[in-house]
Amino acid sequence: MNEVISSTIQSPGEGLREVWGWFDVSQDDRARVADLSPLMEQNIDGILQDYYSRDGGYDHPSDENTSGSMQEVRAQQRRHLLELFDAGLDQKYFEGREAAGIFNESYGISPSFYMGLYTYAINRVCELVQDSCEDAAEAQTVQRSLRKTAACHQALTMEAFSTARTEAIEQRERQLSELPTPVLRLQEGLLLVPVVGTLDSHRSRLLTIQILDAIRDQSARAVVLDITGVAAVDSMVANHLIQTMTATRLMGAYSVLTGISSEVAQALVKIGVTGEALNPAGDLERGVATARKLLET
Amino acid sequence: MNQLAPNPAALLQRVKLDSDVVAARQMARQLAVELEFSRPDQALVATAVSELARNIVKYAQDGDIEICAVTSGPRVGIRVTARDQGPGLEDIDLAMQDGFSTGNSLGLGLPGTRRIVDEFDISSAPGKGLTVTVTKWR
Repeated sequence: MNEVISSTIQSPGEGLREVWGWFDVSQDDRARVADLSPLMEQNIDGILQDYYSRDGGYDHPSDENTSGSMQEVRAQQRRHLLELFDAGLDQKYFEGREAAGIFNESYGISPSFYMGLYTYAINRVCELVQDSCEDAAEAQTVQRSLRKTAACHQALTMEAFSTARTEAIEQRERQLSELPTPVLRLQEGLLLVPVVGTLDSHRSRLLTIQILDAIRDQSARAVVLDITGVAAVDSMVANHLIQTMTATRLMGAYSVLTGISSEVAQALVKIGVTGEALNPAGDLERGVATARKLLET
Repeated sequence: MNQLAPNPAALLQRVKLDSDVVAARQMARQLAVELEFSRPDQALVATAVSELARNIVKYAQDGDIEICAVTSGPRVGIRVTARDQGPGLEDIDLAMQDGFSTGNSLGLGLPGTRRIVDEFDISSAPGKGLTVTVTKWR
């Protein structure tokens, strides 16, 4: 078997070659694993059945009761497991790992559950190899090739999982930073704007536009800007607020800033931000009172 | 004076996004609370970290903030190191002046941070990134 190197084994692309290298997976290893493919195809359903129906390991009900998405998960897991034996095929295999990682991430299949299934399946295949090989040394060689390749296979999938997770988080962060801020009408001519989250330049630009539009549409003459919910108030946030409030003033409306804690106020002053431009008024209650007074003048 | 050797107990925050600024800031505040800094001083430490982290996001896009507790005799303090591999500073003295900014901001980040900490050390060269180390004693 050692000499039988399948001609279908392609030489790996650059990225994959490096990873095979880390795991010490040679072309021979890949060929040996590919040769196990018929054995695996014969036995995979039995192995998965045993895995899912074991006591204690996996507490989902049997096939009849499983929901559509669970069946989808099982079908994909079967496919991803079979792909391990396609390890000889280069680029398609590599893309398959990426797809598997993204699938696991989006279906919430945790790395531990994923690893559990693989460890179980690989051990079962190793037993089958043991039984089918007459030569113990050869069985060992094949098993070693399979374990190395499987470890690499899992690592690639986990890496894709982690990349997908990071992308999901970044996506959510972008969505969050683009959350619109409500501009509320408190009474005729008086608007309240509660700002929540982080205030970066993109968001503060949106905020400015929103406030200016609202001032125009509602002929507002005073705006209370409440930043109790802004996560990090520093000189950059102060700068954005000053610009927003200056623009408000140019539209003919007064603005009042509320929601700065006393500690943050002291820190801002020490840094060198001056209070005049921000027109701060302590808490929201005092801010609204101040704004009402401005309306009367 | 303490050595600036890598501290195994240091907290490290990668700084790339605006949300990392918030994370670094919270980390610093948490340590200030644990070390029993007064409430105004907690805000100063948090603000200093915030300013340094903002600078990284704005000018270098990627870097890290290291925060650790330091002692010197009976004194307890917090040391913050902000490191990036960004464009660095052409003229450190100019960057330390109030109101100087290449980025349309208030120009208070670095000089303002120097005012609210006890020790301030800055090293940079064009193209070599920027490292700022500050210490605030309790």
